[in-house]
Amino acid sequence: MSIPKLSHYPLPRETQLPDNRVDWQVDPQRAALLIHDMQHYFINFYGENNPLIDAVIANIQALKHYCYEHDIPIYYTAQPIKQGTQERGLLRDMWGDGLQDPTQQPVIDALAPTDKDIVLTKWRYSAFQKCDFEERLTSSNRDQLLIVGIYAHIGVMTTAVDAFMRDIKPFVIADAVADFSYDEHQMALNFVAQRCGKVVNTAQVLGEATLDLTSLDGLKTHILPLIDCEPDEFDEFESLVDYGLDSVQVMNLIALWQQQGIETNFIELAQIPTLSAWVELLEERKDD
Amino acid sequence: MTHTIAKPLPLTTSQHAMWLLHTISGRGELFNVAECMVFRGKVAATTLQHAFNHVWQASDTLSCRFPHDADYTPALQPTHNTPIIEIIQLEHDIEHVTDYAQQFMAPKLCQPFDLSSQPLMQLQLLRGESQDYLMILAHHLLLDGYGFGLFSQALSRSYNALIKNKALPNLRFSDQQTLLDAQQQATYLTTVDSARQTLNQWLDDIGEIHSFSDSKADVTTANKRTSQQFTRAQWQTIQSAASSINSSSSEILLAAIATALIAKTQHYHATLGLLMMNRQSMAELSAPCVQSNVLPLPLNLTPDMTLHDITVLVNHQIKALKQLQSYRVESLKRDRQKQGKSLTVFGPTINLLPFSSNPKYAGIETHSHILSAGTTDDIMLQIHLLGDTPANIDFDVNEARYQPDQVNTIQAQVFDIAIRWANQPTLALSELVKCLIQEPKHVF
Repeated sequence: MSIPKLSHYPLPRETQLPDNRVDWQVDPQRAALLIHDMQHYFINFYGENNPLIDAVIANIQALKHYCYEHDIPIYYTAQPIKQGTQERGLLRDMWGDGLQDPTQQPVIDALAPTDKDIVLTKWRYSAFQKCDFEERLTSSNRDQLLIVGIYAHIGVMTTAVDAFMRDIKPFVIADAVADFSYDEHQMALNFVAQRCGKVVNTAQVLGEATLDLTSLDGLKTHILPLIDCEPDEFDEFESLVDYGLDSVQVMNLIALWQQQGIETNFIELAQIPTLSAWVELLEERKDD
Repeated sequence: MTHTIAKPLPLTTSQHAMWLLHTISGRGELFNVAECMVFRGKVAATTLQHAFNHVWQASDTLSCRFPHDADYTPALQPTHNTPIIEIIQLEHDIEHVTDYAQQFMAPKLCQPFDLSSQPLMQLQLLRGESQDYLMILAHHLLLDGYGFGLFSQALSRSYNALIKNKALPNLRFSDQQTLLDAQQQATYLTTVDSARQTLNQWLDDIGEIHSFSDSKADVTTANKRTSQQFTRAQWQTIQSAASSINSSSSEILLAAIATALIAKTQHYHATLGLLMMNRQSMAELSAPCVQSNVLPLPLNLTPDMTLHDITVLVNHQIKALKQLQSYRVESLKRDRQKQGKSLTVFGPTINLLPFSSNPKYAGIETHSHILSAGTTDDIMLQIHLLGDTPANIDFDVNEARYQPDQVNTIQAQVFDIAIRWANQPTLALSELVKCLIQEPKHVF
């Protein structure tokens, strides 16, 4: 009845984000950040050294830093320990007694709230339930909510729906939330993008450019570490086979291009094995 | 009828090795390979034949036969012997394609080609109600996996051009003479000689080489295949682990196979056999022919190694092996024999297959099933890498060496290790081996 032990999976890349129905833009003057349920208790289900959680924490840290720089208020939710039957309500039927150990209750050290931050007590899936979260946002003229944390298809998604119904624009940060599985993660993102909010990634919020793996520069940045080559020693007209790029690395690139809707295959790339020829081929395919 | 159209040419070292295996074994059928291409619709059979004619005639490495003289010196004799695609009408579409195709091809896989007179490919187009199926039987002397990919891509390109009333594509295949010239260059010969020395030194430095079975068998004993695919969730965890330790999914699978071998032998050393593409030059990359090679990948492991440590080692060793891939395994075995050393130069063989592509035929999607990719005297793991789609592993075993329950255990352990280690990448090799010994048949 409790939460199962959770495995890790790759966080969605920019090209894997769902299409959004809305074109809202994050406005630092109107936004607040919600770090959802990043407590020891929930994080522990992922086990130690979990690459998924490590990546999510790193992205939340970057977003926190951005929020401090732009005077965006930061809220946390944290569930209380040893909730009584009335307090826990139907959650008990679904998930059991929940958090009991006081040492498991705090937010994890890597994301510990500071004095500037506000920690809300979390009672139900939605962060708005049974607390004054909406009033706090309204009084500080915030009608955009950036949501990060766990679990994407439960609390994060429900909070996004609830925000939407209160005319607060939810933005779910796809690579700063985690879930039970890739499929449930993706399901939550799809639902938000299509029904109640906007799905973005950390780099988009931070205004960072992501690597364009169809451009010469983007591909060079991606490939040079794979072949242990310094930029000034690389010639895009020389065969990548001679540089030591192997078939598996080529297959990984093919999969990344596929996610952008560009179809290629190993054999055709192997017949024109220079970076310059590949960029030309990708340009042609983009137009197909 | 076969017309001789050009003078005979010598064989490349890879072709010669395959010719010898066929001839010496007396069981040429063991080197037959087969694939079934499913069309998700109906193709134009006449157009397919025209496209095939174009591809076949575009290179003498396809359109040829391999006669030998009285001294058993083989040659590649270019010809105009384009095979005719046999049309077979079916009453219905095929429900279970792999099973049906295996059964359909079984008698053909048992028939050896006559290298000296026959074209080394046979095609049948099975015409179902709403789908067609192209059964392709070829001899390994004609094509390896990469060569087959070149052929398959050229066939779809040519078909699509014909359907659109466009000019047939210039396929720019390398011919036999170009391959021979490339392999006679001084730099190539120096590389081969250097590879010979390094590979022999590698083997001298290794003690005994182990596999999953201690018994011996002949390559001519029948092979049996079992297959298993990772679930989506398992594969996502492996991909995520690969990303977090800056490695690749295939390196994790190689680490898992080496670990399963260590659990079996209790020696912290594994020498896997790795199928190498063995194509470096443009001439080799553009030739529909056999060129692949299988060479030892020695992995010296220590009990404290983590998944990251082993994938770094695998990556390093593969990079080193790439420099040596032109030296044929058959020559390496001959070297060992001359020195009075063991002819076992590697344990389990691994074939990483990233060549899968499903070309469209005038908009009709295709899907390929590899029915037979050769033969082994031991165990061969054919790892089909399909990008984000979970990898599938075929476990091909020599039935004289492996009982079905042994294969099941190996299969379960390889999958178990890959998943367990992807979930806990910091686990030490010795801890993992200990778990496997304590729970020998644990399956996730």
